[in-house]
Amino acid sequence: MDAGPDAGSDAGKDDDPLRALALRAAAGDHAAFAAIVDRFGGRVRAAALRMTAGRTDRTDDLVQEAFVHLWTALPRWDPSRPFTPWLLQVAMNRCRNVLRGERRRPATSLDALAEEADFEPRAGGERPDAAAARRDAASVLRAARDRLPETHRTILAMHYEAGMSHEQISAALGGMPIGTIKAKLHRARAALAAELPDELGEDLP
Amino acid sequence: MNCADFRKRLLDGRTDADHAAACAPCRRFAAKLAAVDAGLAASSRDSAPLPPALRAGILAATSRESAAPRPAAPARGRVLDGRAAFAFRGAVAAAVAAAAWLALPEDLALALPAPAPELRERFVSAAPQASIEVPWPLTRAAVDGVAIRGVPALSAGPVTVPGDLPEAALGVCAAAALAAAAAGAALARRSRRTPRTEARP
Repeated sequence: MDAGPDAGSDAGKDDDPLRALALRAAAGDHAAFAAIVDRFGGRVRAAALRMTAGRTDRTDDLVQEAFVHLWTALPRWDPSRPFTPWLLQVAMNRCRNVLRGERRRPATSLDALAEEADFEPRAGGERPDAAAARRDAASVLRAARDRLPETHRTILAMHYEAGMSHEQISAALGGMPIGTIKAKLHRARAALAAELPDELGEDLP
Repeated sequence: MNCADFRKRLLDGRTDADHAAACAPCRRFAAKLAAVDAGLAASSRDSAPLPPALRAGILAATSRESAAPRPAAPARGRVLDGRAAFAFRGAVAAAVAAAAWLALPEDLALALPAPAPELRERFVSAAPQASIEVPWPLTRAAVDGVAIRGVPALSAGPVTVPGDLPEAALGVCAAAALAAAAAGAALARRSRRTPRTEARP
């Protein structure tokens, strides 16, 4: 595992239309900003959803806050630097700061988890059947992610959902050493693997 | 090699195929780790478009923002925040504190247990900004808690520095400030050993 799944696609590169959009938005063109929202909104929301441990109501507030902040920050974008990493860094950093400011731990009940994951928690060594496991493998992984510590969730979301590279995550986290980021990613993956029931190991996409 | 070692090596990307083949728990763990990677990669492809209501909310909020005057971008300079701003403020505070202490006659600096009006005047006159205020005592070169008002770089919030100021310059500034503070502290210690306020026979 090295860069994020999208890190090599466009997390570090801008195409010309995007750059033109960014320049117009930075100059105050609201229509250009709307196009940027359309292009990056899904990715930012997916990352925010994982950062909030799947709380969709909170996620939407967070995404709106991030994009409003981005709009006010656009005039500070240095056009000599790539726009996409800057946008992701600003948006993710805003999400993280808002969450930290709230100082709230996600309160997820076991019932809610079971409902979301659509599986019965194991009790007394009882296991869900293989068919259910296959169907719900992705849900179980998602629920396991939501139980991770906030730092791990944030780094996973930045890396996988937002597609940020280690260097971009480091910049977004105030210069956290890249080695620390890699170690946290490794620990988060190992923690997820440890949480997966054995029979789900072969069923995830 | 035990399983813990194997897991560690696995996480480093150096798997031990022989051990994995022989050890069922490790084999399962490796499979689950691979499944986790696949699942995470798949989740990254799941980003759906923004819900229309959320998109409309964002655009409405930013439209209101655009109706008001947008915060002007600094013509030159970049904004330091977070740790960088803290470090910069600390470095400048240390430099000012050390310089202020060194500028004082040692007898004045060491003889007075509390700030006297004339001493404060001396600070003010020696400082580049008239509103600098440095709490006593500086004889310990205590830069922690030094509160200086009226200096933009030392006020709360982000710090704007010249855009062409390289990161190395900040480091040099911090190092120079620390050196100055250390020199001030050393002078203070030496002066305490030989108080100069008493007339020597």
